[in-house]
Amino acid sequence: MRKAYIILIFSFFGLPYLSGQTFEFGIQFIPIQASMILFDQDYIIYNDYTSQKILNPSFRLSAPSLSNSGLFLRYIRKKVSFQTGLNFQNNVYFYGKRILSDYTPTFASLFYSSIDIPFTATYTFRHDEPVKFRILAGINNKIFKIRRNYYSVFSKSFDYFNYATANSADDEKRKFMIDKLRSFIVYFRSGIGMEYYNFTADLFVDKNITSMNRYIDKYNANFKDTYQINLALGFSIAPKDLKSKKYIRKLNKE
Amino acid sequence: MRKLLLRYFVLFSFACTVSCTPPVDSSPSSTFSCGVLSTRAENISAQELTLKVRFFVLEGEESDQLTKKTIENNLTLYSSDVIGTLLDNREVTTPYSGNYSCAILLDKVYNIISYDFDRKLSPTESFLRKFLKNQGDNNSFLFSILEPNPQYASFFGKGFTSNDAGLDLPLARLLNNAEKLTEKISKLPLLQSIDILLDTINRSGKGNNRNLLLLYSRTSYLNSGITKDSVINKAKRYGIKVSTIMEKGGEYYVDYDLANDDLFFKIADITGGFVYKNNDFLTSYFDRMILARRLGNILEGNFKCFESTWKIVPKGIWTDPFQSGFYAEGNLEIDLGTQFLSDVTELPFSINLK
Repeated sequence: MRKAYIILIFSFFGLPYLSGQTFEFGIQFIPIQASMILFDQDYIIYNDYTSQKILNPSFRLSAPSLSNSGLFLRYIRKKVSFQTGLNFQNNVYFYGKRILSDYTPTFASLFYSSIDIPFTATYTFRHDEPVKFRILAGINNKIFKIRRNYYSVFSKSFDYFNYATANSADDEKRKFMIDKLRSFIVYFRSGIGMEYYNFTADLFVDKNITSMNRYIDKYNANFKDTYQINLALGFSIAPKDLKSKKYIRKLNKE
Repeated sequence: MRKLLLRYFVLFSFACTVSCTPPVDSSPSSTFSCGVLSTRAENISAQELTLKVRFFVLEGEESDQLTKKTIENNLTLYSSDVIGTLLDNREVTTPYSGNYSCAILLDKVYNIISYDFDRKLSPTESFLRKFLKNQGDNNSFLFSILEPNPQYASFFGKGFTSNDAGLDLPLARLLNNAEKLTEKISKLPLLQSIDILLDTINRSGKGNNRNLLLLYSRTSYLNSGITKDSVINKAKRYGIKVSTIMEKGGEYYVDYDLANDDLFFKIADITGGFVYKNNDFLTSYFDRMILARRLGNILEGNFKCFESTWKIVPKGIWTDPFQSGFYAEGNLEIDLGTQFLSDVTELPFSINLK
């Protein structure tokens, strides 16, 4: 299965380039994210002997950070296009409410970063107009799990302002939750978008289609489903009518 | 193209640049958990008696006990009623009683100290969960909850169980919902609850080492048709050790009756249980977490502790105080601090010669 995935990734990246067809390359930034996580029990028992009541499921908005960004590659054939990319993604899921020592309510969160490699197919309406609308569907592969303060400094940047309230006990809880999480999860992605010259804006929903749990504990809460709504802003660096040098040379000769 | 990529890379790197302040550890570096296991009066004469106080001192998570010498040099006895002189302090090992079955009586409003301000009962929850996780597979538990009339006590689960993981979620549900339940509880019929639990342990407890652990700290309604003595006698008759873990002080401070103290000390003395009481609300959470790890060992026996022997004389001029009925309370104080920082722990005890 994994080998098939690797072949698919390479073919997705490589084929458009090798075939000399039209492709587009750009950067993407996700400034706003709304997410929801569901568990199969009403309480989580941490390994530091404490527990946490799980909130009723609802979408909660977060603005992760500037580092929520990446690159994309789009292969265009008139109305239909295929897109892949490589994104550094911060995943924020609020699941519990806690009261701090100064009585300020705060949220217990599953807060980690991952590398996202999406494969999506897009159908564009009004593809000859400057303002285009499109719908997209596909899969998103989340690999790695990068925990704040532990594996990397990357994911800490967006939590900088909350950092004063974080302590080692919180860090233990976060570690427990992330250890429970699989490092490779496949998501189904669907959404809508618009395009204006080089600028793109997509709104898409990711829902996991593979299990999120590294192990199942029948006496504790396990992850059930996650939903993530992302607003992605893109800017294509190489416009779509740019052809490969070889192709241009061929045209000139003709 | 290359420049654009380079620019993007620089921008991306800048966005990811962060400070690297290490997290602040809020737990104290060293803390001790001390408790009295038993108090016994011997050689009682008109003006003098010998008091043997058996107590334990547990240190941190790493090592369990301090040296005998450290304890002996820092031990003093304070009481408003008696004067104590230390005769001897030695290390003793409690007799091994084998695997235990332990019923735990929870007061739904137990907690007084809210260390993490999250939920009022989280310290109790952490304590119980740690206790459960650190016990052997052959020991069994029964959780019960103090209820108002006419139920007196309710149980969760199907009798005694050894499956500690199975109790995790029910415990979380119970203790997280406790705040709502506090409103209807002011005074609870503690004696009736203990009475019902003693019958239950006698009926369905496993093995010979049977225990009742009271996690209790509230004012209770004791004058309710059942006497303290009848409860104590029943515990003695059934051979059930009754121990109490209680706390005093803290933000949500609720005082408890002195009458309860009397009951807890007396029933522990007679049945072979112990009383753990922590007056220092700042350290009580950590102290109790240390205790939780070794509580199974205390109940099982073969537990290393200290026994200090004191010569006790009454303060003031009394006429045969020790022979005409006498009750006194006091504290053993152990200073376990360093030369720079004092860390005095109080171990409450009582002398009851009625």
